[in-house]
Amino acid sequence: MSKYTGPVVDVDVHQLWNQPSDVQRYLPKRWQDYYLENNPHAPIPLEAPSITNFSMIPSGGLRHDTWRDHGFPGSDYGVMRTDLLDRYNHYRTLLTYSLGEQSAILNPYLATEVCRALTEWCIEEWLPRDDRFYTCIVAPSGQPEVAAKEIRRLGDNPRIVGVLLSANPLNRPFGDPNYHPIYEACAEMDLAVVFHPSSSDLGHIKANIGTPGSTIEFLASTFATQGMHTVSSLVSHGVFEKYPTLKVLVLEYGIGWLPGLMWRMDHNVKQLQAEVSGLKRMPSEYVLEHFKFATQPLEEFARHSDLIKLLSTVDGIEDILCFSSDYPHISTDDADYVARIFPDSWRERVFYRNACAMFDWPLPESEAMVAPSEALAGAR
Amino acid sequence: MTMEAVAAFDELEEGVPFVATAGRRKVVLTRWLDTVYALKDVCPHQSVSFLGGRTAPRVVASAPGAVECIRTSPLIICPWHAWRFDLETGDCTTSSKFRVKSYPAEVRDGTVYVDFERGASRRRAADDVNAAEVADAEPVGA
Repeated sequence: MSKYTGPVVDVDVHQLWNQPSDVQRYLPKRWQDYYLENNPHAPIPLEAPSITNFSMIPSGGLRHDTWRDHGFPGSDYGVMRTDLLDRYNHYRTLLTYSLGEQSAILNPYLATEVCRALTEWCIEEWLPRDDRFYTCIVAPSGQPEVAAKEIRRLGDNPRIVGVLLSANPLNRPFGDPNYHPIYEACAEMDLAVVFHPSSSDLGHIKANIGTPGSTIEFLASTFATQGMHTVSSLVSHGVFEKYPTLKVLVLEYGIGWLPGLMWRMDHNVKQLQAEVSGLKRMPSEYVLEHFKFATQPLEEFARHSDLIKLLSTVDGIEDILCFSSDYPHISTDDADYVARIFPDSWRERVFYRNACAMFDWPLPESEAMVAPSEALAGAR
Repeated sequence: MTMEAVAAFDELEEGVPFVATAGRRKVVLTRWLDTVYALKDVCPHQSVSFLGGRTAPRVVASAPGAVECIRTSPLIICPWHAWRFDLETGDCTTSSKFRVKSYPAEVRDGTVYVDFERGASRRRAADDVNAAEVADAEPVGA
């Protein structure tokens, strides 16, 4: 069995800080003092309060082999380059922070500053390290107007291609008009809206089915439900009629639920047209035109071919899937493994063409020399 | 029985997976309570190396709260997704459909020998399509 040797665009790679102070030094002095002086014996974490007990996940939710002598997993560029970028022939890599859910830090003023500090830290310390690195602005989504200003302030940077929305501090679905200033700024700056699961806030779940009481519940169902809820909300609120150039990248919610959701949205809209009078097309058409979905964590059916059969019920779904590894998290998907699951005719699109199309990137120059399908076939 | 020398016993640290090469073969050696276990160095889940993984005793619970830790039945834990395999048999305790090939190993005069000819089949379910897809896979890392 061959390895995948074609170009890889990986749209979900978590670069982490080794020490919170790595990021805290990008904060205004007032907040640096807050972190450093408030309680030196029990430092305030940079993360938002979490409802998930990550200690229940093996290795703290991080791949065990990434706990080495080079600092916190994901914090060392050299290790990341060896483990990921060079090993898998990365063409471009989208850095997605430690989920980017700091907008859910309970103090809204601090949340905004931490989001800003994270983006500055990435621009200053990560992007210069490797030409393959691209990233997102961490949106202080609790204050959408402030987030929009931040997007316009930094959105001209050619290495910034998206705006990361992870936490949901307003406890409103993401299609809600409260969030529209963010989408307006993204459309104006031609940046993708990038959604990533969050463990810090599950407002909609609290309201409907209760907060998960175990890590199993959280991982098994709330990832998918967050993704489904976000997609259906953006479509049904008419976000894409209001911002017709807006593009959305959905990370780490899985993809197995997508055909069912697309069918059900189309089915329901026929019955509930009065509610969605702003829509001019079927919901599934908006999904196919505006969205891309990261493949990880790829559902592991008893037979991999059954996953492909399910996905293939949506015509053109291979044009909206983008490979992602989720490095260095415990649910990392290996590129070779994913290449074996997807049909030969999908691989180029999933591994780089779809992401390049979304971000208006040129195709890799090596594409003609080492097309993944040829490499796979030749090695058999 | 043809035993091949693959490593010096002193190279092995208790409970720390060590990957050795013999020709084109890669084998993960694990020293546990002064016994050396040998498995093919390919996790059959996503075909990655066990290097960087860890080991642990088997933990069983015959009833709620009746937890027993069996130190004489060690498991190797894949570094990527924490899938667990019996070091003696290669049986996967995470998904019963998988097994990694195990080899007899012994230590003589400070050298670890492995019998690659007598390795047990890595897979239990012959009709498991996914296992068949990775049957000949090589590890990504190591």
